[in-house]
Amino acid sequence: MNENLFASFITPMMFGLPLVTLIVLFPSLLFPTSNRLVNNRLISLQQGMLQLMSKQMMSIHNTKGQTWALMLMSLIFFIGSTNLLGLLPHSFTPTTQLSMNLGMAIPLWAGAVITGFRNKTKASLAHFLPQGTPTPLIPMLVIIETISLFIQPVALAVRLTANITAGHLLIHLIGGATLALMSINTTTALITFIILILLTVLEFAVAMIQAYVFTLLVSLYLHDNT
Amino acid sequence: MDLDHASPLCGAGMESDCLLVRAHREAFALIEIMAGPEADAQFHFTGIKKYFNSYTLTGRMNCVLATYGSIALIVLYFKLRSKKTPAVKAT
Repeated sequence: MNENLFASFITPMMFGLPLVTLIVLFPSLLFPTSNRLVNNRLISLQQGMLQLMSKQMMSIHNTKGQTWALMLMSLIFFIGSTNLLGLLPHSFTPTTQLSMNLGMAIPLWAGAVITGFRNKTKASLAHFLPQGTPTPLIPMLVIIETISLFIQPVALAVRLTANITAGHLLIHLIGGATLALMSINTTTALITFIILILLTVLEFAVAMIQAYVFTLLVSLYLHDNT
Repeated sequence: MDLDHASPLCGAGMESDCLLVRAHREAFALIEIMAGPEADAQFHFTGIKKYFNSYTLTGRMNCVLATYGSIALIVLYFKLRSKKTPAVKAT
């Protein structure tokens, strides 16, 4: 069991060709588009959720920030669907790869920061010094704020990677423990199985919450810069 | 912006993320109240404090630029100093 613990995080290959591109593109097949005025239940549900999320997330933005609505809604749907699909047994979850999450976090963060520097240069630079800082602390606080700015995309990516990876590892370990305990002590195996079910429910929540947190933080960085 | 609107994270058991979201929103609200060009008019500094202070937008920007400039000068000084003194002295 030990050597298979990290097998689910290896990028899958078939006949020497990487399948990761297909896996990343697959969630888009689950969101059908429609050219009808009155849609079926699935598309109506999808549009209802889209409207709910865009209202909740974009209401704080001004006109400039709301141009990012399509990007942010695509982001939350993509991360949410990828995370949820990863809970299927023996599936590969792209969001467990730090490279992928950095590939999402860095361009979005950089886009927000560069937008801020282009449109509000003075305010963006002034952001590095909190208002009311005592004079002797100014240089130190500027350095600290600069470091905290550059840490933001790394924290975004690592938060998503760590949460999803840790959840999958725990499910794998507790599932393995349940199987091993079945031949030893049935009562303990049953308790472990109940823990596994509760953990799976938690992982469903974590999958959706992490998508929301990622998108919300990108939205907040954008709001600070528009 | 309605800060009282509870995030769906709160009460879902994800306390650290709930606190994170709330902290970001509250920090944003404070900045919105305190900063801005119209708020700068209430401060009347004289002398060098007019350009370098931690209250007005201009003052904060100048302090940040001065800090970055000082760091750049220090780095430049040490780079040029290491170029002047040779690594090994010929005997």
